[in-house]
Amino acid sequence: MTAEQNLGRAKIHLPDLAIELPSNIMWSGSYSQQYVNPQNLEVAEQELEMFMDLYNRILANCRNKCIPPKYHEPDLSKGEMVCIDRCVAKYMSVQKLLGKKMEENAENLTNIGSTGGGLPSTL
Amino acid sequence: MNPQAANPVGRPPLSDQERQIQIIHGVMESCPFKFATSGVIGFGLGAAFGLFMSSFEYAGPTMTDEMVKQTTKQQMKSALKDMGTRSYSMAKNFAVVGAIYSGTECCIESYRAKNDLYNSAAAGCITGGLLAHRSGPQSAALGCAGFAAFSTAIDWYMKRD
Repeated sequence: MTAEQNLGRAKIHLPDLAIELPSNIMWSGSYSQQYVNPQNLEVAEQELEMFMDLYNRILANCRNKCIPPKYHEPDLSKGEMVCIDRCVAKYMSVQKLLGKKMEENAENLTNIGSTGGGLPSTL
Repeated sequence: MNPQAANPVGRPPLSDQERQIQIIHGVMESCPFKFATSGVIGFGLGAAFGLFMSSFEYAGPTMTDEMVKQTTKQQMKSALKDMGTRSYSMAKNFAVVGAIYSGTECCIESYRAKNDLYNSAAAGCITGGLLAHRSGPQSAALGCAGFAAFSTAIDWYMKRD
């Protein structure tokens, strides 16, 4: 499946990711021949992969932490629901925090690479 | 199960009806609702149980002189009134016990975010202690231990497999 077909079929709802798509990308199911900037397509594809990776990681981690593998009933109990809510919230807040820290230290990290050693000033 | 939950990306936003259903499910799983529901069901069960227990009073000889003088209809009326009072008091007791137990178990489980037998043990201890707190600390401790053991046993029995 090419990226165009992926984007054509899925109506993607990415509220938190800072992605700006130009208006000439079609969101409906039709495969029209309008011009799509391949660069924006690549960016959108990458964002989609990032989102799906994040989703799968959250799913695996929170399931391992919150739902013990002894299944008495198919429904989630109240404790498990509360645990999953908290797990997802913590995961997202940690991710945001780390993103900010990485941005702040971005120059220091690139400097490490170029000068070959030394600690960044903020760590 | 839910076709919309299979794929997180590409899911259309929920319709009004589905959102309503979600809200209703959320209310049904909340602690105040469980508190009220247990109270109501406890009231019903307590009434039935009280009706059953009150019949034992008339199993043996309970006739007094003045009771013999009354007509059958009056005797029946007084008997029914007595049964009603007894079953009402038992219903109130059961409602209180059920509501407190269910409410505290829900709160403890929400706080701990785990689902195991300690929730029922702690909720049973609190309920037993509350029910017996008027007659001193020793009886409160005994009530706590007894009710905790009882509720843990019942929960263990329901969950074993």
